[in-house]
Amino acid sequence: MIAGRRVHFGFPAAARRRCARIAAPLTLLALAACDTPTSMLAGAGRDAVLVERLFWIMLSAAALIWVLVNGIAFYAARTEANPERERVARLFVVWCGMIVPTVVLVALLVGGMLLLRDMRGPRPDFQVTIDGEQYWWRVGYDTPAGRVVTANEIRLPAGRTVGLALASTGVIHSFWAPALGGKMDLIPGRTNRMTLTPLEPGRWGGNCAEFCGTAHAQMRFEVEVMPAPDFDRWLAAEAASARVASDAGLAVFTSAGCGACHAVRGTGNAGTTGPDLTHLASRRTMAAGILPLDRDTLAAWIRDPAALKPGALMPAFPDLKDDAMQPLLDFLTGLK
Amino acid sequence: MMIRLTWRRVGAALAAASVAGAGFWLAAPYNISARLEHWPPVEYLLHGYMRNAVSNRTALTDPPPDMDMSDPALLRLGAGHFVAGCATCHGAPGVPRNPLVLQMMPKPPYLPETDPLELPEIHWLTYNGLKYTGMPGWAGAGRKDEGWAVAALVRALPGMSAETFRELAFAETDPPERAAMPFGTAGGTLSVVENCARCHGADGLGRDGTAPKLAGQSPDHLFRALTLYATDARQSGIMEPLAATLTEDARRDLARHYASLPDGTGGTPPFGQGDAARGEVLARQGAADRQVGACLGCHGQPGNRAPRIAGQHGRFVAAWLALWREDQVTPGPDAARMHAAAYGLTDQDIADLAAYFAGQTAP
Repeated sequence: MIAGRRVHFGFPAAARRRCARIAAPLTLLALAACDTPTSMLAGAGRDAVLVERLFWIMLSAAALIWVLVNGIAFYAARTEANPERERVARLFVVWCGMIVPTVVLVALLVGGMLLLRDMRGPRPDFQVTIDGEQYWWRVGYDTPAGRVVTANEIRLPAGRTVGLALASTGVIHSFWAPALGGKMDLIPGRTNRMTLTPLEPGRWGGNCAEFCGTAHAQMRFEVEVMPAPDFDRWLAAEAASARVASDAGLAVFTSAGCGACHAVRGTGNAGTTGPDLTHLASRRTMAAGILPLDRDTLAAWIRDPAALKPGALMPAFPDLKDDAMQPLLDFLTGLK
Repeated sequence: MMIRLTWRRVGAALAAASVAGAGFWLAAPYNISARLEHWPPVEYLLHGYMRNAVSNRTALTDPPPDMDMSDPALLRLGAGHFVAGCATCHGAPGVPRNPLVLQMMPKPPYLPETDPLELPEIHWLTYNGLKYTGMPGWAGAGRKDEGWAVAALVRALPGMSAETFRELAFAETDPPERAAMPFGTAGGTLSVVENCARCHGADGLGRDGTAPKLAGQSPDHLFRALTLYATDARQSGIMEPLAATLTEDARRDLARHYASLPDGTGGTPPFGQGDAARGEVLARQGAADRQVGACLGCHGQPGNRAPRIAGQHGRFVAAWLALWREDQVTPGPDAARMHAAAYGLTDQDIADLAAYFAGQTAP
């Protein structure tokens, strides 16, 4: 510091002004994020509402305590030491340092556990199984017409409670759709259960929330909450066999060996290792929510999946020439 | 009298040694003519160093537990390669060596009459070869698995009769009698097809699965595989030296010839402890929890160029699945896909698949 200049505690005035200029829009941005499909403050599910209430209670309490503690510290720093008030000080430490925090923490703990009980409370109306794969989500619905398997897009009816059975085969993943509810790990060798009660129709986002490998950050998913009648119609359609839009494309799909890993129900292709593609074209995204599902992206993906998603386990098909690729794309984009 | 050690004296001694060394190098008084035996102390140093080096480098190596080193099939594979790659210099039972070889220095040991080293030592020498001798390294980079067949054969050579060796190395082919080992050719005047038949059989059905069944395979696949070996794109110390000699036309002819042979038997004798029923489920559906693709999605799928494996010998299926599990073996997208399909296989999966495919009849 140059001698003679006023010494600031902290940053010089110019820097503070610059910070303020940047911070103001950043704060707005942060607040705007509260409205995104992946915000835990969106309140689109019963559990998210419960979590949000707890969040606001804790935030207000924390703010209050912060103001009180800093106020007292400020006051204490400006007060002369006074031996006559030592008894008061000791009482203050006992109450505010031991008794009050204990009561507050116990209350929070009890409140949290009651909340956990509430979140597990409702009996699910139906079951969805979710398997964490590397690096995508296998989603299964048990319907009277048989098991319906899809990937990465989870459709749920608004107002009904769904029980999620979460499992993983390779490594630990974590399922979190913040707008709808809490988070739950998927642990190899066991099935974890949670319930969700979506309230608001709309498209809500989620992500793997436990580092699982190279493409962890690209392991997203989408939850589409639909009015219950729409959901029932969708599930019935999803249970149907595939619609083959291009026989030539199906022939390419089969002979190139796609069916070794992918199932397209009703075509004899019944692989289980990769995502079920029976109604691929009814999904809006691919590669676990990171890419739009369209012809060009599909073609690029088939030629070299790892170029679009590092660590993707699907092997590349750079040897599929255009005369095979075009019918194949017709077939895939026709899988409504 | 004591000489006091000073820095100056040490320096002078080192300088003198360097000058003497440089003088020795320049004047080259030690005769390196192969026509002279080594001076015994030099022979002792060199040979002893070699023995120490090989022994130290194999102290922790054991033969693979799943390989039976006295298995006749393994001996036949070893002999099949030995007669093509080793016998010229190391001799074979009942056939004296060529005078040309006897002028090599160091003289390659005549293995039918040499006390054999330990199996891991023979394997090490087979795979690595030896510097400063005529012993080459293995032509199939990374294929340490192949060396065990040679090691098993070399261990069994002392005392082996000429007839036994002929049966192991030549099967039903009939190479001409030789008074001494010809230089540099395996079967003397055996034709190309006969030379293949030594291991793959004249009927193309393979001998005990150490070499694959070729009969009835698609000619495109056979040509592709031969070309991969011929161009060093697929590694094998056994196949590469033979395939490299074939012109493109010869490879095409061979592929056509074996593809045209009838698959015949359908199914091969049981091999290993696998569960064929479990193997069938795996072959049809794959295994999602191990990222294993369904074999039949490509193999046997009309229009797909993957080779036919139904009816292959279980030993062959198991050996190659183990190779594919390790890496992609060959450049190119086909191979990348095969590795992607196989890398999650367990040992039990491989045994099960081997049992399943061995029991299949080709369509």
